[in-house]
Amino acid sequence: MESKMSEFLRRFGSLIGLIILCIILAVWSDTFLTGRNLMNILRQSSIAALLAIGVLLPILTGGIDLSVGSIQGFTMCFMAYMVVTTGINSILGIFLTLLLGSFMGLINGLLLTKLRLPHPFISTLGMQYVARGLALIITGGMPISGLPPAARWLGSENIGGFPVSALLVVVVCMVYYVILNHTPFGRYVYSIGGSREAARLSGVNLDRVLNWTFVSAGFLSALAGVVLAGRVNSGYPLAGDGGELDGIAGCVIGGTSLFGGEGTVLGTMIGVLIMGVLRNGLNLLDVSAFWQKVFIGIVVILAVWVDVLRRTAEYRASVRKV
Amino acid sequence: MRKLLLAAFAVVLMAGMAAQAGQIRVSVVLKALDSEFWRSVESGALAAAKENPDIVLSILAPAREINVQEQVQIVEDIIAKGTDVLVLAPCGGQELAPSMDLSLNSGVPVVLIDTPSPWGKEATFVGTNNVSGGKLAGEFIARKLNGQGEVAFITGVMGHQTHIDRLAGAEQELKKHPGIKIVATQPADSERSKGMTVAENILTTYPNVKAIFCTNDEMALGALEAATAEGAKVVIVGFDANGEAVRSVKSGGLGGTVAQSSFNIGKYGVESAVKVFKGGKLPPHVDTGTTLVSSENADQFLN
Repeated sequence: MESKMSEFLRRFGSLIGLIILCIILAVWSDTFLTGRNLMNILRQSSIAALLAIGVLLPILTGGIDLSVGSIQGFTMCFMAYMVVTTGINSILGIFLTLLLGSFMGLINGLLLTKLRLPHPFISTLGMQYVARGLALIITGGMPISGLPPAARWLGSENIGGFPVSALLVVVVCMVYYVILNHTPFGRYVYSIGGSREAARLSGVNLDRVLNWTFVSAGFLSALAGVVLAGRVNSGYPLAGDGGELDGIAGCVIGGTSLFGGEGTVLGTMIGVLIMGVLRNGLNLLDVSAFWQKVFIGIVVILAVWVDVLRRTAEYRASVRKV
Repeated sequence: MRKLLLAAFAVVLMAGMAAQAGQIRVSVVLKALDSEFWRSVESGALAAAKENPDIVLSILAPAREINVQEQVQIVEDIIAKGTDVLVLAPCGGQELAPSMDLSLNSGVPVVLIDTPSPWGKEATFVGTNNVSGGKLAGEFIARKLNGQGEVAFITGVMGHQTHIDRLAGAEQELKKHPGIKIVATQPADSERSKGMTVAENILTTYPNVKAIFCTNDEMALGALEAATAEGAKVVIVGFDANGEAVRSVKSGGLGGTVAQSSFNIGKYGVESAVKVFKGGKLPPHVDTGTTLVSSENADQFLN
């Protein structure tokens, strides 16, 4: 019985939380369930969603990436600089931006695997400062605005009533679902998080897998940067400040374990949506940003507590079997 | 699918008509609510709403002034909910431009307060004339120095229009006095600790500096620390007239500070919104006024 309950909580706990939240808000605010508002939630959550999937892979290996928000900010400014100041083609600008993000992720990885810094907490904390500094340098502290329409497309347009950025997130989710569940790389990521030693002994090339998880995080941060640049029609140096924490919170609310080995793309998306819906609903109800922080904090704590309950139940069930 | 969209559209329309006849929904979105300045803007807005029972006021703000993304979300959410006029102090004049477009395209006119924007489609801008404020500071310094001596400027992040305007005003006034020489202009990013470091450097490089104009109070209070530590007698003038700065002026620390009327920014902002809603014509810039706070009048600015 307990194990069934715990399995149920593991699979649907956060989803049920999201549904309950939506019902409460729909009752409270007559704007909440309007099409326009639902599209707003998707649009507003898309950037946090990209950052969350970005940090998900390093977290699954038992690591962390604290630099995604700053890399988002820097790559966004880089893109604005390229397409506005130097005036290169928008598509080329986006391509170079994604390349730059991936490269910065690669540096994060190499700091860990080649320089042997003890934990990605340190290397990516360093990168957080470096990237933020570079963002301030490339912009001179001022926003660069006036992007051409092609550069703004991902962040500002709609297809069939849906924000392009939300559709992009759906595509990214599908790709990462396949990578994590149906490729050897995905298996390696989970196995490193489960037990690093066991993964090494079974012949997994640890360094290479770890490097790629950070490249992926850097790439998705840059993608988030491109989306945000389109949304606000500019690159500004303090963009994405605190984005890494929103991303991590999304992962954790969605049932990802910070010790690695456990977590899914779908769960993470639900975690991000819970935060997005909460912020949106509280705005509709005229609740101040100060209280929003309190509520989001409580949700993070609640989500992890439910997870602890589940684990305890699982543990008891397994002991009883023995 | 089409039915669903139509239904959603109908709901949006109904939400839009939710306001009762005669009522004016004014949505004020500030940069933050984390400082005396913004609290005072808030109380100005509340005061305006209290005087006019037709106003249905809502006030929201991101947690911090730098949270552009959060402010964009707030504006989107307000437009989805429905409002008559948006009164906005943009976290970024350029970054919020798409959100202001969204508002205008949804039939909601925008009144900008405190921070101007190159966007240019606002019904009016309600805020401090920073050039006049800078002039007050320049005038005061010239008077204190009897038109003789070296002056230094400490300013915010380079390229920021507010700070540029304040400096320009002060410079215009000081240039009227041939005995006054502006020897340095350095940025300290509006922060107290940087203001202190920069002032230390200035006082070391130019020991004859007799006055420093800082484009906000935080930097002025930092500069004051530096001058006190060095035992230098320097007239330091800040901008904003926050509580600590005014107390310092009163006790003989800072020479003076320029008060913006943050209360008026909120009050005139909401009043202008009502005029816009009723179809009235407004000037492009509603000046909310500036006053120089010195030891003589500091008492009025306390509390």
